[in-house]
Amino acid sequence: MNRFRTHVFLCCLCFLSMVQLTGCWDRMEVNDIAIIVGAGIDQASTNQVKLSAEIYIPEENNSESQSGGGVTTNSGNGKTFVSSATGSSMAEAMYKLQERLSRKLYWGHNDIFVFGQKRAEKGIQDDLDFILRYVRMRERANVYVAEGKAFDILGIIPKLEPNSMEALSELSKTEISTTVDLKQVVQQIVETPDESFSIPYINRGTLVTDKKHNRNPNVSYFQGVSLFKKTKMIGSLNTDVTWGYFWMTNNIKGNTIIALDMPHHETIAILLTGSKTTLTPRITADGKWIMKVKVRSEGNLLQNTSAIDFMSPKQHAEMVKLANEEVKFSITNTMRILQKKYKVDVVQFGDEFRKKYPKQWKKVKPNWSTAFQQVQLELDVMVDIPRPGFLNKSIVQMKDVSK
Amino acid sequence: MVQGRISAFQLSILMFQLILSSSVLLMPSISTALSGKDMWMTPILSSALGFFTIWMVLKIHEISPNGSFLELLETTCGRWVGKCFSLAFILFQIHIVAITIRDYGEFIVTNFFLKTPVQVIIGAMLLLCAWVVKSGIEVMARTGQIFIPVITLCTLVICILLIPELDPTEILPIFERGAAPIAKGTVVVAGWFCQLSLILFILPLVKDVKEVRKWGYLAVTGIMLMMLIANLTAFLLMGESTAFFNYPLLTASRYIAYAEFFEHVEAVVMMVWVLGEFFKISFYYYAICKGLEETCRVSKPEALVLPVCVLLFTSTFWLAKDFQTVGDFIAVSGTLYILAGNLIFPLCIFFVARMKLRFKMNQT
Repeated sequence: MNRFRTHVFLCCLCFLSMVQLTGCWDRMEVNDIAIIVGAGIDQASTNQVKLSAEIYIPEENNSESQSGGGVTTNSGNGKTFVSSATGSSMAEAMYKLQERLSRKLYWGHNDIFVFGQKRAEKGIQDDLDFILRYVRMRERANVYVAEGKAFDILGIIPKLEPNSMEALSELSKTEISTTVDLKQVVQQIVETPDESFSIPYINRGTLVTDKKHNRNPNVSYFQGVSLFKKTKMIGSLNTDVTWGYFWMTNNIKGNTIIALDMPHHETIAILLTGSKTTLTPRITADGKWIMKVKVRSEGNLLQNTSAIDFMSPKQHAEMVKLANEEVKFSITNTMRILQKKYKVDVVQFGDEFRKKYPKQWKKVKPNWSTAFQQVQLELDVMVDIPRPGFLNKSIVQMKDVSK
Repeated sequence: MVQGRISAFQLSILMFQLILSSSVLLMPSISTALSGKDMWMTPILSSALGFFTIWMVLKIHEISPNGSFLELLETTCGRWVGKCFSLAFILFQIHIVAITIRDYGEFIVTNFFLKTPVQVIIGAMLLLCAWVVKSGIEVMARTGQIFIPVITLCTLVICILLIPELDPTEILPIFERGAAPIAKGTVVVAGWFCQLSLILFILPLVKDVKEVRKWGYLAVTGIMLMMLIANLTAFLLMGESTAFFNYPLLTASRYIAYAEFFEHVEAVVMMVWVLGEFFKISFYYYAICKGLEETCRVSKPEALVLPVCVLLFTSTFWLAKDFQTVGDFIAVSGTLYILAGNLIFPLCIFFVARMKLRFKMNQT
């Protein structure tokens, strides 16, 4: 009897398991989703936001067959297309974008957000709320501000990389650029009194392409950093000034080249192999706030057309001094612009003072943007040039020797 | 319910997971919101309460007849009043575990299974727990011996992978806002530690009670260390913005990226959470069944398992209708309630029982 019961029970189980054979009805296969690789956010008209998404096309070489109802890029071999929609908020724009696509938008692989300049100037707080709240987003995604429209940046079909987003993230890894991701943005919004932070500033390659590139390589250009205060963009630093900003924030990477400014148009160029910047805050007895900036870097001689002899100890010291002056100039120049023109602390001075002088910081915190302008710099720069490269004398000097 | 017996070591493993399963994910956010930059101190300070709970539970165990807390209640307060107290204590535990289950369901539904009804997630978990509770405490302990090291290791691996991203200077300045915020955070974390008093139900089933003190203290130390690691990882990575995320460690794990292909590892966090909560819920579930069996003198304890399952399932939805209520309860009002039920109530009973004993001794 007992065995009979077991058999009946097992048979029932078998029949029950047949129900499962239909598969999962909620399945979401790769060919049901539209993978977003980059997103652009623009100001459309007043109170309207335009969300553009660069979407990956899975099939290879299906030229001219991009569809989706949105605006497509006019390239033959692009493996992505860009679709956009306008709404009163990011959420509504995304909803409208979804209406036009046959596949479900998938944000899990989105690594890049580009804000159009107008949107950035109006404030990115509302968009950040959506981006961070929506569960599919990644905090690792990089953030950029585009000169002009983000939509145009997305539309670029670069020659060297598969799509414009890949090109952007590769660009960020180079020594002239930097990366800022969502996590860093949120962290700085929370931790700085003025909600101040900086985001890489890029422009569409075509703006400079005709002048600087033959055969249109179609890339986006890094052109400094944009500055944010109260989550609104208030200005930007150009590439030269950004260089000083990188020195301040310990963002100088190896392979950076310092070209020294020489009186008679000669060149001394140094290829950096490493650099470290440390900030040490100090408050003097009479209440002066001083930030000591200590830069220690090392680099090898890359080009020397001047009369300075690397091998002579005295002249080598002079060369080092010239390099130090160059870095010092670059730092003071940047700080002057940040302190006097924009009055925004994107170099983490506030954070450093907070860590060392919490009591004094508490008092100053509400008026930090005024106090920041008064902070004095104390520079301690040391650029070491230990190796001359393959030549020990410049060609001009060698001629002198053979005479 | 097969009775079975476990060793003090097995109990300590279960205790370890009992506290850590929900705290590792939820705590960094809550303690940052309350204590700011000093949030990393809260686990260290509140572990004192953990040690105290173990000490108290063992003291209670010493004076209890047959080692059972519920019988102590009956001898101290009289049969019927004692039974009422027992039932109230069990109901309190049902309330706490219902919150835990709901929290588990909400986490899965918000972050991973967006379209699945929360009832299915919770129902499936409760059925699994019912199975392990029916098989007895020994099975649960042995399952724990296999899986809890895995869970702990996964949590640690996530923290280790994040080391390059961490900024140790984030915790400076220490004592930025003074002692009051630290105290607030400590009380909330203590709300987790005092849940250790749940072992009052299980102690009669432990083979070597003498060893429980040593292993219990070790478990508390382990819990403290894991909490510290989780807190520090989240905070050194995200700074004060930790308070803005509901599940900071999940956010942190999403941040892991190595060599452009080793990323998207948050599924590990889900595994840690599901397995961890499985042990926490089963432990509570078993304790509740055991308590009901003792109070109502049930001769066939297996019969209790399914009704309790249904009760837990429904009470999960009675207690709160949305995430806001659950979150508010865990972070604010719930802590004092949990402390009162898990710590102050047993402590009062302990003192009353001690006085009664001394009184009796004086009489004779």
